[in-house]
Amino acid sequence: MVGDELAEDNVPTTRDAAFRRLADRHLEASYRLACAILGSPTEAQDATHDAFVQAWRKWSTLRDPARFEHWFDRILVNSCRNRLRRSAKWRTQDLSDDLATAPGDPMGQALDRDVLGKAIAKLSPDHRLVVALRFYRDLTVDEIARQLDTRPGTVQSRLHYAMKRLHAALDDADAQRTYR
Amino acid sequence: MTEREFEQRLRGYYRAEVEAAGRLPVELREGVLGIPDRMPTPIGFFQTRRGFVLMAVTAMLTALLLGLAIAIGSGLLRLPWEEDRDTVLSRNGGWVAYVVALTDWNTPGGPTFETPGSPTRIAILKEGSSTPVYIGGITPPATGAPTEEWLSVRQQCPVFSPDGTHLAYFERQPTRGGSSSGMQRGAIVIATMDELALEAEPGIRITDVPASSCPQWSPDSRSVAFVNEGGFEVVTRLTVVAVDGSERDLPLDPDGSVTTLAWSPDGSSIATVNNTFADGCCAEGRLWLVPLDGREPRVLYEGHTPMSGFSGRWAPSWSADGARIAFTAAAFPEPAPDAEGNVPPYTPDWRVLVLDLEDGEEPDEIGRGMAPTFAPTGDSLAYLAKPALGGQTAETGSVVVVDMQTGVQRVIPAAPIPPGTRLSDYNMEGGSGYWQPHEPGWSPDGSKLLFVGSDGVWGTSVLLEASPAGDENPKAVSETWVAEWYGDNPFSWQVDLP
Repeated sequence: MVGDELAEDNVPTTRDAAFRRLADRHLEASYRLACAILGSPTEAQDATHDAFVQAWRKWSTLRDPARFEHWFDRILVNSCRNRLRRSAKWRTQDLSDDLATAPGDPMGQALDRDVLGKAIAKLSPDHRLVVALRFYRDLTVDEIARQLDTRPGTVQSRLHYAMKRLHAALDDADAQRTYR
Repeated sequence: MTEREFEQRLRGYYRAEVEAAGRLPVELREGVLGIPDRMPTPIGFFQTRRGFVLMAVTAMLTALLLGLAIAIGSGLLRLPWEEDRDTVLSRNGGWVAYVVALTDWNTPGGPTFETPGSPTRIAILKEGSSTPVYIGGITPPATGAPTEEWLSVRQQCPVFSPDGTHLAYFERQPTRGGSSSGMQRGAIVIATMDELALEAEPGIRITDVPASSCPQWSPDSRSVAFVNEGGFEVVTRLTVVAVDGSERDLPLDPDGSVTTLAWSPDGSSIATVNNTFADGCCAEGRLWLVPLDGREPRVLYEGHTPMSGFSGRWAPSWSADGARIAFTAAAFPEPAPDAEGNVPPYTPDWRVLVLDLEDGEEPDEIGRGMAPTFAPTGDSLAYLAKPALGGQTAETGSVVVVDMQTGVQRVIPAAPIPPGTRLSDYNMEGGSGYWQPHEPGWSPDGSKLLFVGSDGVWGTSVLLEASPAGDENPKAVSETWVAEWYGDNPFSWQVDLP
């Protein structure tokens, strides 16, 4: 935990040093979460940077350093959601370059990513958020609800409909693959 | 595909997606870790060069504005629109004395306590200074509530000696109370016009003779004449007291009471008004000429004359050559009964009369009004016209200047112009534009008129300076209020000292 890390390392006395230390430790994970939510490295880089800028400005609201991770994730998720909402059209990533370099079962994984990527890109921002937090971060429904500052029932509902649509998209793809 | 399989595929998708995105770009790492350097805190901003310059400029501007405020407040610096004030008062440091009532004292720095006794103080305003000097001070002698004695002090009627070296005034004495005639009783006090001594020394009481009028200086500045209350009798006498303290009473009609007076320009005689009470209507009065060489007084006019010796509006005024006397008299038209047959009380219809001492004829009626005062040059007469003439309303009255050669009368505007420009200091609303003038007085050289102007709606009053030509609106010259009901107190303009 971050709080433990801070306690062990002697909490930096200045705001600059504390921010740099925490940012350095959580930057990689934050970027990866943004990639999972947004599906675009470029968008994820911008969202991550924006989130850290917000964190710097709101630093005084972080009363307990031990809760930095949870506090910062909320900022990051909000930053990602804002980016998704600002987009008039949900972007569908062209994965053709990535497919050629994907490790392991190249063909099977590439097909899954193609189908799932397109299906996820068609989800609403709120649905994309809950799916990413559930299956990338492996958060429980209650944890997602706290992260998004909403009720567990709402998260459950969003998950249900998101999964139904993704299911349908994947079934269609499987059927077409079998037919071919 | 089972639900579990589907979830595994989703997890696989995200792992692949994140793997495909690759590691964190170096530029993002540097960008995030450099945020503290690029996002200045409020304190950090002022540690930057730009912040330091901004802070320094702000500090300099603040210091400049503060300095300007202090300079303006202390009178060291005048704003362009205040330059008009330079025209007021005399050229060589003369003063104007007037009366302020502490009851209405709401200006910053003034008393904030209740003053049920309506104490008044004499304010002396000097050219170039916006801060009056107060004889006797305007603050209580000790902290806390002012004493009853302090509240009872009422200074009135400041009059400069003709040579400008002294100021005589009336001061009500708390221990004397009122008189049986209803007049105030007090003493005549003389102060030496020394700027340093004025604030420390309230003046020298020259006599214990109870007075009930404003003091009047002899032309040679050696004596002061006033109405002597004469104990607790209704009858009052005319008394002349020399500055050295010697005094003498002047004989007059023993049945009448002296109310007001004026020295002749050569100092050889005094014009005075003596009233007796008549049955039925109104006081009968006489205008007397009292020689000081021992000859018998003689009556110049008989009629209805004013009763009070405190208001400047009632005193006679001599022309500079001593040939004419202007004074106020009244007619009392028979009041008409109303529809129900009730008869209202008699109401005086005041007139300004001018008597020529040489032709022996009846006085000329100059106009309806009061408070006539000859210009020092003798060619003009100013008075307070009621009802008003010209554009003024009947309620407010107007100051009128009469050319004594041609008889042409000019109405002097009463409202300061531009409206609210200067009077914003005295009136939060900038003045109502409805101004009531009070008794006028001349500057020693006759080039200016002074009178108190009262805002007819808001009740604030200030000292105004006007041109006797009537070609421009007056300018406010006093920083402090003059209580409205004290507007009829005479004020005095000191001559230029050598």
